[in-house]
Amino acid sequence: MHIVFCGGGALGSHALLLARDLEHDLSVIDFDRVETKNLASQWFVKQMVGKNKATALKTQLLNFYGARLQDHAIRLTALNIETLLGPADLIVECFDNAESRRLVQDFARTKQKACVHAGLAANGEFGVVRWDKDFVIDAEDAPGQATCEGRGFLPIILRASSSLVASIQFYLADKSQVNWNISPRNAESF
Amino acid sequence: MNVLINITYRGQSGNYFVNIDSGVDDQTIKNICEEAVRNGEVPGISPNIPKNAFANFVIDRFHGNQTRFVVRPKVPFGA
Repeated sequence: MHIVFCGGGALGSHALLLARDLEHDLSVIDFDRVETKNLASQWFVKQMVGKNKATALKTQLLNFYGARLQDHAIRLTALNIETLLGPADLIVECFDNAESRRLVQDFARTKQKACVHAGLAANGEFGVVRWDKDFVIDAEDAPGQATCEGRGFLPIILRASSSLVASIQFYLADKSQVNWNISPRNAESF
Repeated sequence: MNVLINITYRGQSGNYFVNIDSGVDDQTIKNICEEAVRNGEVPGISPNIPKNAFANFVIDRFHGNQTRFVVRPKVPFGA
């Protein structure tokens, strides 16, 4: 099975760390570069600052664990989505803006691809994992709005990422689609 | 219909059961939640919430064996 992660930031990077031993083909799409500020909330080491996030994740997984990841260091657009997501058996969407999320959702629904989404509130007070049939895209309050990129958000980021990977494992086991509500104090699946 | 409402507010979360029509509008649900929290009927959430505390919240609706509404803040971020 080919699993494609859309976004390799806070949720995507940690989810890939946790998904590294899944016995399936993994790939990630992210055009962005690692910045110093990302080290506080995303799974990147400081040697990766300046590198593309998808490529940095590929390098880290290979060097630290011998795990293979295909990197797509480009922005996902309507022009390349068929090429990038067409081969996917499962899409894992963790982008950080409504426009990109909508692009993935429209593609997944049109092509009837299995797709699971994950998202966080800007201040880290809540997170969700939702399979596409249950996912509602929330727009940012303002373009470029600050995200959970400062210090102190790692516990909920890790909780959301681990819940996401748990949902992937459940799906791989029996095709069940488990959603999660994640707060700083607990995580509930349903 | 007996509906389970998952409410999250400022990192606190709790459940509230209420008998309402599953097609009730979002604003009514928010009002019900605000009143329940203020009355201390939602374990896990401090009753000291401001008026219209859930004004900018989103409501997800799930219709399975147990109808569930999730009253939550927006979650636009991932990457």
